[in-house]
Amino acid sequence: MEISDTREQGAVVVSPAGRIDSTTSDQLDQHLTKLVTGGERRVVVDFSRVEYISSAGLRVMLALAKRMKDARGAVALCAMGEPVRQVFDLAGFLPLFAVDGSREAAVRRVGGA
Amino acid sequence: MPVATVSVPGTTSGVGRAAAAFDEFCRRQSVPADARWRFQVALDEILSNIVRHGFRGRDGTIALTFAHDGRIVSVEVVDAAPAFDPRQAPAPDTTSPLEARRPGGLGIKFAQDLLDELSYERRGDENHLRLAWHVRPGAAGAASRTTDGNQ
Repeated sequence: MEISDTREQGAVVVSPAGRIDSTTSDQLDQHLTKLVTGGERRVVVDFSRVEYISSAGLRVMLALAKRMKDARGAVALCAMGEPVRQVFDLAGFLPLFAVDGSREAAVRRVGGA
Repeated sequence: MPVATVSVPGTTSGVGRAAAAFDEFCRRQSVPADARWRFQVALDEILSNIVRHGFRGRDGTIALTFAHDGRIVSVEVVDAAPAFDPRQAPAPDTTSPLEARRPGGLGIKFAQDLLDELSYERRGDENHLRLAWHVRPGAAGAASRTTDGNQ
């Protein structure tokens, strides 16, 4: 899985590409964990290049949210396509996350502006 | 009816190979995008469950049969792990607040909710699972569907 990070107004925007499933979720988990343990407190995950996510990927997002809460950081998700949004919805995960339509809105939300 | 079969080892890399084989089948048989992602999510859940809870590190093989006749897309999954009927799995927690939320059990729910059929049969010493999706007229892609997968 290709994962790119960009820095936007003090926030780090993580953009994974492809599928987030049982074969790729560990890689994303390690990537995000490294950012948080490295001191990042404003994280946006951009789903615009994600084809789909399965429960293995939701576990990673849940772990990120819990870690960021413990660290008093802010996390926002953005640009979910229909397959991703629908899986979050079925899992009852949408109320657990700040979800924005655009990357710019998510960066603003985590206080990067 | 176009049919393809593939056998993969009951390991995480085997799950990845099954996903790649399904992608290839979808490309060759022009399976609509809406059906593709639903099956990819459901297969990831079902197959990784078989690897984790069925084989538990023991050697095993998972056999898959993909079919698409223009109206119905189906996948049959056969393994020789101990009997497990996913329809009997307990319902997952989808309402607790963040601190208390446990993600377990979601996979089976996804397979059930995203597809139209999930049937199970124990035949001899094998689990036989069948997943099916009825292609919606004019459903070219995921973007054409805005509501949940049960109608």
